[in-house]
Amino acid sequence: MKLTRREFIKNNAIAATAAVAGITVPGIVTAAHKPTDTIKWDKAPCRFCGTGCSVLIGTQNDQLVATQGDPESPVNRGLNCVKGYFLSKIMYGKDRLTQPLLRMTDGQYDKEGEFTPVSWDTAFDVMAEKWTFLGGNVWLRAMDRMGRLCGLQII
Amino acid sequence: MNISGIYIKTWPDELALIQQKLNKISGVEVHMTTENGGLIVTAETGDTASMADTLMDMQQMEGVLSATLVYHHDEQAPYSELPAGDRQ
Repeated sequence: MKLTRREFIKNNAIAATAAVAGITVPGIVTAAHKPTDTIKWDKAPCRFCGTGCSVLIGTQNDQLVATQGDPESPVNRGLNCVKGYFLSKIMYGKDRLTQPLLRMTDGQYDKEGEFTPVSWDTAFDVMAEKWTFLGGNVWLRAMDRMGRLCGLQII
Repeated sequence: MNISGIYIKTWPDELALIQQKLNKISGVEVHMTTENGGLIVTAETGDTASMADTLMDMQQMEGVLSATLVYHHDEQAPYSELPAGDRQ
């Protein structure tokens, strides 16, 4: 049976989708039968909210090319939500943040200032300073939790 | 080349109608249906933006309860395998 790459990928899409629906599709040739396929599959948590859905990610030539919800994950059971739709594109978005930005005016942190690229050292120094300032405050615990959910977006 | 596997849920008595509507969308194929109103669908588009539009169309289709993307593949296909419209 000769498959074009397109048909092969489509078959994978059908098989994965059918698995979520709890059925199998007769006659579908999937990755299990095609060891020559060059996509390498790994598992990672989605970072878009605190739920932590498990996502299977397929890479080819060090480039992320495919994603699917992890069917074995008890959290999302093979499904992705609307934010998980295009996880593979987010890695390569042109406007993706790749370095820390700090609101600054005249080289100093200023809540009303403009976002300016800074080094990681500076970013962590400023964050540490703000956290210390908050010490003992009832907000600290809430902020700590938010910080874990949202990464470094607090300050 | 953008290929997605999408699981759609509808009411069982609207299954045939939804299947008909979905098959009319360019690049969309319904591969299987289940008795409880589930449809196993693939969508193929040239770029991600039109894939997002296609998914949105499905979600907003009257009678569709949910359209969930399960599988998404995005890569540059070999020229010979591109749909005629995407060849430049």
